[in-house]
Amino acid sequence: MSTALAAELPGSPAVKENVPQGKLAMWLFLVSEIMFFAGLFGAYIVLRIAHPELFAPDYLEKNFHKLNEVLAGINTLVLICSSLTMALAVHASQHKDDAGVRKWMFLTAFFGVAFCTIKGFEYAGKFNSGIFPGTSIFFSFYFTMTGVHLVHVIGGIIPIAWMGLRSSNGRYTSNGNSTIEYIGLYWHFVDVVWIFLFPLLYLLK
Amino acid sequence: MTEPIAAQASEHEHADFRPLYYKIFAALITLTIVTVAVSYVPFKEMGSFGYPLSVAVAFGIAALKASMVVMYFMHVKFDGKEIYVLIAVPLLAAAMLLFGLMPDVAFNGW
Repeated sequence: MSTALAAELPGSPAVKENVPQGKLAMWLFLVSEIMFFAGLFGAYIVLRIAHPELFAPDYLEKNFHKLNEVLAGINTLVLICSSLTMALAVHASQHKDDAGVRKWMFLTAFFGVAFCTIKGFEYAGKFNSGIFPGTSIFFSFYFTMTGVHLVHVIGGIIPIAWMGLRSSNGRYTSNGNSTIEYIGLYWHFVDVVWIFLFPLLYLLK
Repeated sequence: MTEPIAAQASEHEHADFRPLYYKIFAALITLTIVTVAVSYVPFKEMGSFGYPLSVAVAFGIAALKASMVVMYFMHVKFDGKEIYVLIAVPLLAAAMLLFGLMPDVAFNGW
């Protein structure tokens, strides 16, 4: 393409791009995700304040089973660790460090798998106690919110592990390649959702 | 044609953010401990507003943690202002969703 033509086209390098297209696309996706989770959180908070008796620990304990705060707390720490390793993977990708990208992406995927494993034990405990999504409105929220979040975690682990596997010869580290940064945005968002889920679902008394 | 973009991209990525990442990580771990500790505060004994207050405190700390992740791990603080606008719209919509449903809860049955 001739330089003269390129200069006239909007979005061409001659026009200053404030937000790269890939980043803008990822943020637009995350913005739609915010609305998706806002609906769930909004309904949950309103119902909880309107009917505290449905969520009182003595009521839950007498009728069913309390949520496992310890497993959820450990999972919170696991996800925070994975956010740190993700940030370090992005740093490595911006500093031409193929091996670093591989290492930090694998570690991030590992923490993701650890989260899913712990979640699996938590769900197993519920099922063994005869608790299912239809048990009560509280457990409908519990399984829907944590389940949808779990799907997001799994949806993150797969590309993160895949990219870690393929990180060599500057595939993700050559100039201008921001793939790791974009998947990182998604992963941090998954962490943010859990940051709200943990206290609101597990800790409120 | 790709050269200017590449040059632009590498320009602001020289900085080493790792010390900052470790600080944010430490803050997030600390705030998680605070979150757990706060859940033992007997809000219910504070009268009829104790319960909404406990929800507000839990939500507030979570919002603080989330904003740290968004600002520093997701680099919104260092990116263009456009991202702020992009995030502000759904947050406003989410607030409308929540507070639009609140009046009945706030004024009936209390």
